[in-house]
Amino acid sequence: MERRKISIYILVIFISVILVFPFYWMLVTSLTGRASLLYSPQLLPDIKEIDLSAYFNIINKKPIIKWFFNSFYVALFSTICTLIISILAAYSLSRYSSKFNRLIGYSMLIIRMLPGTLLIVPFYIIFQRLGLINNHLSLIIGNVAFITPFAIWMMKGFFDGIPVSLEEAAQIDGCTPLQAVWKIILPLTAPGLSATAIYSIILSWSEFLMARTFLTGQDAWTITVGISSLMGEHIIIWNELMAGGLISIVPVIIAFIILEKYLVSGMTAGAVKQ
Amino acid sequence: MISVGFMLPAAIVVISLVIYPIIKTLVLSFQNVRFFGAPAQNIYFTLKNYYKLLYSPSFWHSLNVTAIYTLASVLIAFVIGLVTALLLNYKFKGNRIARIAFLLAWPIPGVVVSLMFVWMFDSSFGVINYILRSLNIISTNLMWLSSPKMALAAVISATVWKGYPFFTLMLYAGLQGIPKELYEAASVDGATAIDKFKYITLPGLRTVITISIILNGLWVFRAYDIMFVMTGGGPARSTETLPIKLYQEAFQYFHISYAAAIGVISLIICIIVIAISAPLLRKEFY
Repeated sequence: MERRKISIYILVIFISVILVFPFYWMLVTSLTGRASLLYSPQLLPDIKEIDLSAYFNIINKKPIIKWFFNSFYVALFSTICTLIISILAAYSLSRYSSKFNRLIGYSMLIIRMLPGTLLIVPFYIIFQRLGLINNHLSLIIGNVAFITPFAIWMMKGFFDGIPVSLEEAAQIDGCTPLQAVWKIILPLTAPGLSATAIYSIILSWSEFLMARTFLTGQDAWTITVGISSLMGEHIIIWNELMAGGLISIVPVIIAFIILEKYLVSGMTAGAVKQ
Repeated sequence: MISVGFMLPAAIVVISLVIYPIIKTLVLSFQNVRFFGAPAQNIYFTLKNYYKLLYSPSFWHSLNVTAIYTLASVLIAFVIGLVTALLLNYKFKGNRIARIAFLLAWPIPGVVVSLMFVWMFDSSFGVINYILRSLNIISTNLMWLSSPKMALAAVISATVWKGYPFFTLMLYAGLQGIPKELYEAASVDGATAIDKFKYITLPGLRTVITISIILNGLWVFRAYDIMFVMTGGGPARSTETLPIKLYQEAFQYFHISYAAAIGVISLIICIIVIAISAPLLRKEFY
């Protein structure tokens, strides 16, 4: 059995190295001096040769900070709206199962499976008529449309895990149904709420198609559009590009590390129930 | 009363942002709209777009590219996901760290993934050519993204890297659902690890495997971010999938109705796949 454990460790380390390599390489490149980029790549760089100039350059040359805050602003509001809509809907789906409910539920499922490029054309037409092109509101609305189905599904799972008897007990004690939800159920779903919120932040942060189509002015861009614009230039300064890329993923990586244990436990709970 | 009231915001979202746009796209595909903001009144209905589509070699080419791209990306990601899920299933110290390492690619935006891979696949300075040359697998640098034959491989690699964590997660969760007693009983009966895998693990994972392959397949089929940033559909349209083609027709050539027709066809393909798998999915989700 000992030999088995060792071979598993070796396999895990070997596979981890391969799978994590793109991150590593992005980091190494961002810390390389501009001249050194033209030399042969070095898999294990010299500690002495680390050069932070790429980070300063990219922040000075392009509105990276502005893009960063645009993404943050859009992600924040998309998440708030999504949470409100999906908590209500998920609670309804979990506790009451009417035809109307299930119809909306299935439609939500369908949204998850539609091509983004399918909806982008009508969305553009709608937002153009509303005068919302180059306005972050169009992106927020679009995000809400795409993220709500996921969020409803996640929250429904968490609501299902709370016995109805708790609300009934609260109502016997004199709460209205609404108070029962607000005071008893919501606090219990705090982990589920956080998980859904972080998931929504990650999805909004990654949004590219709609951001690129609806946001026309460079100052309005989110970080994803901004980074992609850097790649379209004639001369690409790779260490700066990698620095920009790394800056753009720091929030989602932090969010992911927090979320990770909820993701796994949420999914395994669903599996065990069967 | 509460049930309907609570569902109302979600219902409004669905009707205005899903049902209406789909109907609008459907209607557009039967018209001849050539720019955004065209007045709706004097547009007549025609099947022209669908004829053009079915007789257009570039459409079938895009469909072909999409099929290859989707199949290759899903299957390779599935294998990696299965291997990583099986590994995570063992109890070993540092399992949590391994889990984070294996899943770390998941939250990364497609744009940033493309960034990483365009740089790694760079012909002159990229690390992949460097490693391949160092291992003597190739003698001169491969022109990954400028060669029609290799570009698709590069994009598939990037898609696989972003996509495999989904399988890792789903399959890992599925593995938790297989009772440990089955493995113990099999050990008592003298089963080898391969036997256990074939006769306990795989059948136990059957539902999860089907669902995850379908969901991931639909995701790759619809994927746009990575392809657009890495190749934009080139070179020589060798990586032009349906979503790329649709976006080009709509926002570059302003063939809005034609693009809508492409969208409807994509939707039909997705619906067929969903319809085939609906019985399985319903059990999982609602």
